Amino acid sequence: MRRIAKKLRREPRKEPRRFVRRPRPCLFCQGDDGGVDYKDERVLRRYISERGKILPRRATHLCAKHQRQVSKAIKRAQHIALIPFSTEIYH
Amino acid sequence: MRNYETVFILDPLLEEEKINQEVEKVKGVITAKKGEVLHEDRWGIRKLAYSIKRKEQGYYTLLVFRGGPEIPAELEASFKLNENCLRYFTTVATKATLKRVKEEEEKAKEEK
Repeated sequence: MRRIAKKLRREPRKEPRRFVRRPRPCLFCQGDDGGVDYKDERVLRRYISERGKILPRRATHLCAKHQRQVSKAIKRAQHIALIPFSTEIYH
Repeated sequence: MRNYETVFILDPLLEEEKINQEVEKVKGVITAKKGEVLHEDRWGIRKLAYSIKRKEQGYYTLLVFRGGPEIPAELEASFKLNENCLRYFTTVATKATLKRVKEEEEKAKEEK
């Protein structure tokens, strides 16, 4: 049985190789975890689009825990006018 | 007793003296309810991300304090009545804030 499996593995691939997304570790998970600070405008700016929308997880590469914290921090920062709710883009 | 933090934005057109007065007033609300102000950080005049009450700038102050749960309620009531206050926000102090306060305390100790 093992021999057959080995033989199969050596056969050339019939289907093209699938796209594999390389893992990118969450930025906040590295180093000591002080949580996300809603007063830190510079950090939060990285996680909003130019229109002011909160970026999705697939764009931020954050883990679920920190994405939640960032999204909450952005909403708080918006309330105290550190970050805009929305910005207009002129073309 | 819990640690809280509050950020409030004052009208930047006020004179310096009046701003000091307002900040002291807020601190007075905290101490009157047996709270203890642990940290005060005046960010000063900053540009607002959007205009509030037709103002484009605001005078930001951060206070970290310790006290009972009646203090945030009391603060909210006083901010609501305060015409010079453009915006306020109070929460239980975040991990990030407490960390920074601690760091600054240690720094101040070293300098001594």
